[in-house]
Amino acid sequence: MPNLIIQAISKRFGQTVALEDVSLTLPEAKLICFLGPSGCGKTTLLRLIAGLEQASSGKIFLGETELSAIAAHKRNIGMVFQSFALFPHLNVANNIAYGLKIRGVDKLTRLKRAEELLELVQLSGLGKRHISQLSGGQRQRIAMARALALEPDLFLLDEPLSALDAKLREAMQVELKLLQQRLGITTIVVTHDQQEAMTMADVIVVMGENRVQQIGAPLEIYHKPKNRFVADFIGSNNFIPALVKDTQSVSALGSIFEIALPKSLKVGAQVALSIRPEKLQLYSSEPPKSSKLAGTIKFIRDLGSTVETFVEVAGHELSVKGIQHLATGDKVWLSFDPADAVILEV
Amino acid sequence: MKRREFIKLAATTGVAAVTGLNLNFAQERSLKVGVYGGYFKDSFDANIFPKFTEDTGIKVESVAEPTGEAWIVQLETAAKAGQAPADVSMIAQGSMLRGMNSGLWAALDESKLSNLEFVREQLQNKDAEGKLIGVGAVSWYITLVSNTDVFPEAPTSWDELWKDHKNQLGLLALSSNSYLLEITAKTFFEGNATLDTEEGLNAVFAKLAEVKNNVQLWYRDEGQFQQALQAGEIPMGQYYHDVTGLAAADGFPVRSTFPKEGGVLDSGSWAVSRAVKKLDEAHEYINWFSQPSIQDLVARSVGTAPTVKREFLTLSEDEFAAVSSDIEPIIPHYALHLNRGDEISQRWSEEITG
Amino acid sequence: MNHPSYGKPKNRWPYFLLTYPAIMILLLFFVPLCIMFALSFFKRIQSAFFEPAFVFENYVRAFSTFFLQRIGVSLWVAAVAAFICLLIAFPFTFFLSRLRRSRQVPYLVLLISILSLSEVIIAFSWSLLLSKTSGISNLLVALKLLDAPVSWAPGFVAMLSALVYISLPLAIIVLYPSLSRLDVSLTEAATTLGASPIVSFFNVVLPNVRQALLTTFILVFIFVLGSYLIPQVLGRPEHWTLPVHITDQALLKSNMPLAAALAMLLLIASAGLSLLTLRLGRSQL
Ligand SMILES: Nc1ncnc2c1ncn2[C@@H]1O[C@H](COP(=O)(O)OP(=O)(O)O)[C@@H](O)[C@H]1O
Ligand SMILES: [Mg+2]
Repeated sequence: MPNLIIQAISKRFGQTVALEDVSLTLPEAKLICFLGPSGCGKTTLLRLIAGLEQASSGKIFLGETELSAIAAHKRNIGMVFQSFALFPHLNVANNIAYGLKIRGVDKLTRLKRAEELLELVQLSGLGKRHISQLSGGQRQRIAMARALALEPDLFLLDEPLSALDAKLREAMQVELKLLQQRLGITTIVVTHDQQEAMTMADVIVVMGENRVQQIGAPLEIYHKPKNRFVADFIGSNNFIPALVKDTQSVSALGSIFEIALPKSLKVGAQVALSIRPEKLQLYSSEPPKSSKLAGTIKFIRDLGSTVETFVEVAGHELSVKGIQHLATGDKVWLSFDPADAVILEV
Repeated sequence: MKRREFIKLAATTGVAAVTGLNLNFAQERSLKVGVYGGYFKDSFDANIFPKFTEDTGIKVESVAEPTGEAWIVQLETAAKAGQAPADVSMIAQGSMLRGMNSGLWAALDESKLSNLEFVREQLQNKDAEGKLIGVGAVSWYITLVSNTDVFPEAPTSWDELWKDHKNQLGLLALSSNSYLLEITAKTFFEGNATLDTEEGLNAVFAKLAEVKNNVQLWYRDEGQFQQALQAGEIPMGQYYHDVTGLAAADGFPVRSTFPKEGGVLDSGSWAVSRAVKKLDEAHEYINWFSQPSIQDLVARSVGTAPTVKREFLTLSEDEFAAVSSDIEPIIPHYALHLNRGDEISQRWSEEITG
Repeated sequence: MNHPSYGKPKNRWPYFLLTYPAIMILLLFFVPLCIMFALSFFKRIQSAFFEPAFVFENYVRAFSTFFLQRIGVSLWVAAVAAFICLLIAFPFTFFLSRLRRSRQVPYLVLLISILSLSEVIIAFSWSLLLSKTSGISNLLVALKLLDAPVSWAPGFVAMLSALVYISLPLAIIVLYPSLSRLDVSLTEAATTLGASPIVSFFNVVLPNVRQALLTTFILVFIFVLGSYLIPQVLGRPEHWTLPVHITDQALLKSNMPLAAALAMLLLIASAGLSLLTLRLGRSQL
């Protein structure tokens, strides 16, 4: 199966800009997550791929084929809608077999295929049920089964798990991932939940402000955010205002830090030094490290699995995560490995 | 009976019955008079009732009567409960008879009606025992009307309806308000007497059925026909003489002709329900209304034909011609419509309009 | 789809309030119906009014060929009008419900204002509109589509047009909620599954709004069945529906018992037909 290529796509609804110049190449047979805050255009991008919206400009290709030139109902794309959109007038089996029926597949084959798919989503024997008799989780699986019935080239899911309760959601994340690996269909899942994206995705496309902010593997996105938006959106982060001293170091909060800098940065530029709370170490006395800061503990929050400590350093509050045995008001030292810090333009 | 008014829902029945409760605490004398709603009530309110109050000191509260026979059904229902929605009502002739047969009307005291002598004999309603139960209030003619643009020559006879005028006629929709049976009987047979024999009635129905193809509109609502007549859309038919005259005066190309067989003279009478308490005032009103001078006023301001003999009136030739005619009128066969009405109207629906 | 469950009221008030609809139905619907039913057995006295009795002669007359034919005409007219009305109202409402909310409002306001027009005004406007002298045929002549102006009223088409016109807003307003509740993603889901717009209309949209369509059909059917002014003003005598004759009997012939018997007949015929239609609609689902 070929790559999905999105070429300079823009989409406007009247005055509203939903997507601005989006270009992406998405690998085949992978699970891709569109991740971003609400309103950033994830659904719109998915619907453009499915053909349910027409782009204001730009093209979409699946390998050599121009997808955006094909009518929506001829694209062979399986889609799971946020509301599931199951047909209330049909029973479960007929919902799953709807696409087959349209293609004129005979009834016996249809029913057999519906039963196979029910097995795939672990709901064997539910074919005769009415849609109104299903739980939310069951509907979710039926919607997936229906979308997969035609062995689509692309499998698109718009916030498929958002209607489920937390426990079921976590189980389904794993299940969806396993299903995708088994079928090997290029799958795009829209979500606004970064934890969900981290769990499932092979590739994450971080979207924000109607653009693509970064595309990459989950850990790459997590550890090497390309910009402030990504760093802010994925996990929690400390942002320390800093000044570029030379090509090797920055000064921040009264200290100098030796850090590899992007070549594009000029000496004297204002930047942000971004460091994750769990990458900061806390000491009660000055440690023998090069990258360190002195401060006072302002507040301690016990999160159960870990402890979050807020330390004031030169009028700036930093969050630190990790077990420690200190108390509010203690004088402490912070240090980190420069390799864990990311310098972001502001 | 409905004149110059759009059809209203029968739902008004209940409301009128309720508002009929007389809550008159004041000492001053007053009277509730029922007149057909719309044009009639408006003209009476403007020109007649104020004059009565001025002459007698009795205040008049006018009540709009609903269309058709709904009013007399209300009077009858109210009378059973000892109530009267109006003290004096203007009642069509068919309804007069219907009320008489059910004992609805109070007998009027002729000794209190000194002006009765002026009122034409046939406009005084008597019951089976000869007691006076109604006195002519207004009368009007239904005549042959035509559009002057389409028909430069005025027709002269009702037989014009039978001539070659395919889809050009507008006629009233019911046997009991068009009086077309009477018109046919007068034009082609021996008049109303023909309608009293079975063969005569059959012959009249057969003759009348011949006009069917000429009829474009069987109307219940006058406004609809009047508009079509004025526009020339339906250039001929039967209609009210007075209203046609008013339309002609307004510049519309219409005329009303008294055919040589006569126009149809229909009328309404003043009658008093047996439940009415203010009999003195009622008599005073009817007597006042029967004065020739008041009849002059009515003819001039309401436009109906006078109920008193012409010699007592001061109307000029033109004023008289505007509302009446000296040609012997066709008088509706009220008894036929009342006593055999169900059968006649059924035949009418099947053979004439059906 | 979902079955709301109502909690039990905690004090006596709600129970008391629940009796309100029952009382209103009794007062406004059941009592008049009983009076009418009783009246239909009263004895008509031709030259006067009627008297309490228990006779069947009104029904004997009501079941005469003439009145049965009238019922037939009434049901036919109502059914044709309701059908045409739906043919227009359904696509209109479907597209209306898919417009943006702010665009829908002016249309709905306009429709509701048409609802407020009385039957009288509508009947007379249409008779003018279809007349030879001032009607739209003059417009067609001016546009050279017609040689000479013609009169289209009274006539079957004229009557039907006005009946459809007067019931159209009703149909749209009844259809509107169910059509706007229809999830747009259902048709989109069908699209992604390979259904062309026409196919998805027939096997997704239609089955899901069928009950609403039937309900609307019946409502318009009954609404039209009750109309007497439009058939009377715009129809020829052969199109006069039973209500025209009921009105004549009640208002112009003081024959309340026959009017009541005819009304009962009409009521039973329309209720029976409506139930049948609903039953048919359900069973095919
Ligand atoms: N049909 C539409 N009409 C107008 N604006 C729309 C429409 N669909 C989406 N938008 C706008 O486009 C932007 C992106 O929406 P969407 O793709 O639904 O975001 P997401 O799925 O990321 O929450 C939002 O500002 C939204 O209001
Ligand atoms: Mg979305």
